[in-house]
Amino acid sequence: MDLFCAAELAELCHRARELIWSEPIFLKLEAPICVMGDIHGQFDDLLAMLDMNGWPLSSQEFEALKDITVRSRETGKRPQSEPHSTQPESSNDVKPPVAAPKSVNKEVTTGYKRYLFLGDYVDRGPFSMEVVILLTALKLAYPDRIYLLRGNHESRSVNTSYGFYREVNYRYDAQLYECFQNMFNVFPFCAVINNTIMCMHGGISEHLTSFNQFSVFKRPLEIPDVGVLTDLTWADPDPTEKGYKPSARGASFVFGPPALRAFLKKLDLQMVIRGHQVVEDGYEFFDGRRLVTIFSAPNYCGQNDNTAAVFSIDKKLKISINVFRPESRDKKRGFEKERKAKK
Amino acid sequence: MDHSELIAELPEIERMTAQERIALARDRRRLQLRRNDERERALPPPRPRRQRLHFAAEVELLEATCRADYAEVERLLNDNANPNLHNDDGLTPLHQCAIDDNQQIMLLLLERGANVNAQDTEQWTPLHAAACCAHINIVKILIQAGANLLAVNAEGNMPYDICDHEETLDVIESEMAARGITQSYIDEMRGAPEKAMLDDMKMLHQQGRELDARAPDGSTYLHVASANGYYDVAAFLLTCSVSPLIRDNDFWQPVHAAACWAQPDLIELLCQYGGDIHAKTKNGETPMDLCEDMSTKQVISQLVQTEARRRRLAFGVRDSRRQSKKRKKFESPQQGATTGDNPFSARGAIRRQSLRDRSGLTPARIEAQKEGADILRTWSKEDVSADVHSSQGSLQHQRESPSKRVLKYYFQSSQNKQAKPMSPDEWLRKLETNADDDLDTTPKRSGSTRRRQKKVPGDMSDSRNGDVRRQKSTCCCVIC
Repeated sequence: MDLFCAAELAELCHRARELIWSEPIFLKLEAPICVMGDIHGQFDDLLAMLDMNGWPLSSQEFEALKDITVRSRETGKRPQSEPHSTQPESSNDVKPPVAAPKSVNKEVTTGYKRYLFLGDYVDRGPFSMEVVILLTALKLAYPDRIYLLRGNHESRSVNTSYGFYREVNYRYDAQLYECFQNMFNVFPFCAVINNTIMCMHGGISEHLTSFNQFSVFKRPLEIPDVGVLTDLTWADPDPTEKGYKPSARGASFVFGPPALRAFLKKLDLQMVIRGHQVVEDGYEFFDGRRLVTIFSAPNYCGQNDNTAAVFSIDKKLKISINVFRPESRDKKRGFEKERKAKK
Repeated sequence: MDHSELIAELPEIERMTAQERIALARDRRRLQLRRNDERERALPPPRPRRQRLHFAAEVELLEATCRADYAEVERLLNDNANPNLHNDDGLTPLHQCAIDDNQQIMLLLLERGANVNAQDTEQWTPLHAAACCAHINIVKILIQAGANLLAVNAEGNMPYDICDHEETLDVIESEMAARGITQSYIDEMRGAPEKAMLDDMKMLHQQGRELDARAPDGSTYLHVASANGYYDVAAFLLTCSVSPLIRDNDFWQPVHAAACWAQPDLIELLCQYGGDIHAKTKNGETPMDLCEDMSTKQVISQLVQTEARRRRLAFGVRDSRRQSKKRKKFESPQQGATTGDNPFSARGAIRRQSLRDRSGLTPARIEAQKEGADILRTWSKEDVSADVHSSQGSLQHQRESPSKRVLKYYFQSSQNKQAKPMSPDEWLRKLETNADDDLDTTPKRSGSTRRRQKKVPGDMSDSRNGDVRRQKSTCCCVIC
């Protein structure tokens, strides 16, 4: 039995759609913030990484959620379930707190983390719905702590073939899939942190010369076949290239180090953070530290032995990296610890 | 002043004296500076300087080392970056230089206080990495900087064990000989962790403490011995009635740990004492599923076949009658005694083969190690035999099979003792004569090969879908 009925999830999608639509298609964000890459339906790993890196809730808010959860169980309004599964349900009832004035001391004591997700929440992994439901619920509860960018898999032409449509249609119905798709169609495409770091799912675009260009895009929209929005969700870096070249993926382009430098200079940026590709250590630099790829689905599809990474950017723009390893490697590591203990 | 005005002034200036010209120039300069000040004051205030982006120190230093950027590495070290910082794998910049054969940055790091014997999470030192990659100049630099030639990594290998390049191996072995390192000393160093654990186990046993105490994750001493390949520790624990079927919190039995860490002789030992080669973990994994080493997989396959054969024989009427007779004499469930000598010799052959495949040793080193291992094993067996004699009379029947095995080992070891121990010179000479027979089965360290793997795009198959999207020329979503 599923935890939510279709009407509840449809309502969640509608509300999230209105909220995200009210924000710009191009986000301007301030540090401190954490950046997370592709999730691809790996819900357990998403929870583990939020446990490791910190949730966008303070400890007091967690306690409040616990109370709401316990009260819901006692009154029998909700079926019995594991605590983490009640996050989407309970967080809807918590009103967003009044934004505290930004200061160094108070930010230290807030106790929560702010997040920017780079897209590709669905497809390939087994729990795409859980990932989307949790993140949109957190977005509704704490609009200024969670930001969700759009990946190439948040597109009808992709997620009908790679698992999301099949999952929603199997567990609920095709009408609910339309609700999710309508929500994806208003997601923003890129974000700039402190006018310094640009974040998107795919890569840079040759035709993006000014951030003012985003005003011409009207949402809701599908990811087009060509253009700036296609490049922001589909492009890849290629160290052997100089300029822009059509991609082997069949969509968008690959770009080389000279193209990246020209892009950064034109838009007065220092770095690009993107996802879209599996990298073995969870993160990988390109052209020095001008571009970094982040991937946050460990042991991707159960076939790769890759690590997942989360970037933390503090108020002074210092970047640190937290990595999360697949379970099988942790198993080996446990024996290593005992081995050292014996020595 | 305008150009035309300056030109018009020229005749008048020519008629001036030198002092008058200097005074005029000074007046003009004063006027120029005053105008510049006025212009500067009128300008809007300059924009504040943008915040500079920077990474955590370990990320920056390791990334610059990977790119072989000498200037940036030097700048970071001058800014007091710690040269011994490492990533989550324990990889230090010195490891990275050894993997990439970067001598220039390595010398700079060593000069700035990098630890030449830093170990990553698998206890590889930079010398392990350089020896494995056959970077001979890096090996020389590390040796000169005081690298530990006898450092043992998580797989029980010293740098010279994993070096399959002749010239590089010569450099390492020449240095070992120059330091007076003998084969017996090498064996002693290699076996030190196991000996320490064996001593601990015996002390616990004498004190009457439990030998199946558990760590927080549910693992026991037998799990640790099986994972590390501590044959004598495991044999001691098993003869002291520790169950080979004991499970940790993830339902891993010792045989799973031995399979995961490619310890074929431990797998044989555990099955010999009643371990289950088909045991499953909480995730439903069998030892064969967890094993990644091909030679260990072969050993497991043979054990599976042996057990299948034994199971088939159990259905025969005559065989079951014979087993019932055996059961009257020995109530122990051990089945090793019923198979006589043949499985013992076959098992010995398997062990020798797996030992060679596992460590990639040359035949000469295999012989030398076997001699040392026999001596060590004999010593531990004698102690086990003493324990057997000191136990109660009612237990003597259950221990009879192990004591028989001990006696056989004793006879073999007495023959080995008659042979003269090889001096270092003889050992080196034997190595040279067998130089042409070097095996190329040395496994490369996964870390170094991982660095060279090409990254796989996660959405490669999306290209097919992209082609479909290309054909939608009439898509209304296209934005012009």
